[in-house]
Amino acid sequence: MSQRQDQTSGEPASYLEMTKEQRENAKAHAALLSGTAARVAVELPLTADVDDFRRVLAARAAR
Amino acid sequence: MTDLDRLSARALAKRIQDKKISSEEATKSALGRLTACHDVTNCVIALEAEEALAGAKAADAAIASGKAGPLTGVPLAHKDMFNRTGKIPSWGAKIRAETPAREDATPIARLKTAGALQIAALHLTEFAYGPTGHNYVLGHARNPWDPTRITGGSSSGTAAAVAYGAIPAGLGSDTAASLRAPAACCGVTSIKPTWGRVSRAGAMPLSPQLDAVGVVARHVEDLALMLGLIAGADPRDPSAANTPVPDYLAKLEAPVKGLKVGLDERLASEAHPDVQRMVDVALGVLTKAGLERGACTFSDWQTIDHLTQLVQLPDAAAVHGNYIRTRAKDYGPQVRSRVEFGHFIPAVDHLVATRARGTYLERVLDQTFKDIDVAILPVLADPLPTIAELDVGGGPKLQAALGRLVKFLRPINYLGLPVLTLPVPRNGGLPNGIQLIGKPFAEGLLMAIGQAYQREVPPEVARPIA
Repeated sequence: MSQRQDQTSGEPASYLEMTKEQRENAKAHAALLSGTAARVAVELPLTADVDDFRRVLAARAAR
Repeated sequence: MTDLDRLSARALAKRIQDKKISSEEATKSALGRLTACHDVTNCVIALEAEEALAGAKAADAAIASGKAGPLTGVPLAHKDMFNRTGKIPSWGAKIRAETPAREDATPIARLKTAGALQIAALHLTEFAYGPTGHNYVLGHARNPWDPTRITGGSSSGTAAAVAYGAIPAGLGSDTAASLRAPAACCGVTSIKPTWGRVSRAGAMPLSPQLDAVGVVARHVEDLALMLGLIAGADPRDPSAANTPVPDYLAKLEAPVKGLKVGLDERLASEAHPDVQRMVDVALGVLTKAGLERGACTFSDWQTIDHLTQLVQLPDAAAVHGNYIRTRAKDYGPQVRSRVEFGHFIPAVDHLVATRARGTYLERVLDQTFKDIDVAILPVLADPLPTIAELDVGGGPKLQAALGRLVKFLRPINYLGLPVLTLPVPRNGGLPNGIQLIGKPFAEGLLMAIGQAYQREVPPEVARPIA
């Protein structure tokens, strides 16, 4: 194991060569987006499905 | 023949079919213009003169024997991200496929069947991952109206070459901005079709859940012609929609009087005041063409923007899963940084965003489009930026700078809706554009409106403004 991997093991994506500053930027941005995901998740019905998108596109196609 | 730079592909095809000009003459001229355009804009990755002229001679022979398709002998060129038999697309990157493609990408194959020639492979942002036209591997693309300014990206080369009049039209793709930003920056039109309208088979993926292959052209009629040729179901791409492909050319002349175009004034007010004035001017043109002005609200815009990123960032990171682990140093700083960011998005957040997509699309159709036929928004939030202003590398300014540029663009990819980009009247200034957003598969309606718009605001050919 390289010194870099030692230093970042336990970090997200420890296999990527990133500076500490880049990691902090990435974490901060992911946290911002996570806040939105959390808010959306609590409003989303249990039955919401990844295929809903294609179904709605086809069902609402302009005639 | 002095007006070849101004002709539409459709008009040029007719001239070639009527033998008023040969494909060989048209192709030689296009090669010359493309070379001149490259000197200004850095738009060409590979000029394919020999193959193009051989194709042109074959096209002339086909016409002489009475065999002609809708684009026979017409010289086109496309963003270098599509597989072509026996060739390795550059992807705008240092990293490339190890073996040549075994077959053409479906959109390329369909244009070939229609008789079109491809005379060059054109510039793109590295891996099509960036809205500005910056490319740290190939060199940045430069705007044909002002080479110190961005072309927009990622379909940078196609937009520059079309704007310059080197080619009448070409293919691009759009994951978050990539047909609309370059069309607006270069003062031309584009159609980003509904997600699934055009097969992606053989096109380099960026974020497959958002990617849409589309067309850049000076004339809306060429968008209609080319979209009609490339759209439709494809056994090679299960995500390509089975929805019937209308006769878009016939729909161009459909009446637009009384259609309602809605502006979300609160959202649009976040654009620079000059850009807001441009939207007003464009709305004036549309109302002159017979449309009625309405209002609409994209109430969840910022939420949808975040959801788009939650889809795009890990989707693109997964596409680049091999290369980012094994050849990270071969990426330019912006793309590397964005691919790396994708590894920090939790899988649960990504899945929430993909599961929520149908819900948000339905909500937008029910609420935003309740009383309107199409929505209008700016393309760029600001007047055309310089290359230097957005040369932010991969550092902490990256997300904010790019986020501002795609502010009015990225959420539409999450919704999968079709968008027509139109240039605003320049009045001697730099180009910019508006986007008309339609309901699913409403490309025909959008292009009918675009055709009416171009009767008032005819296409232009770009040359550097002194």
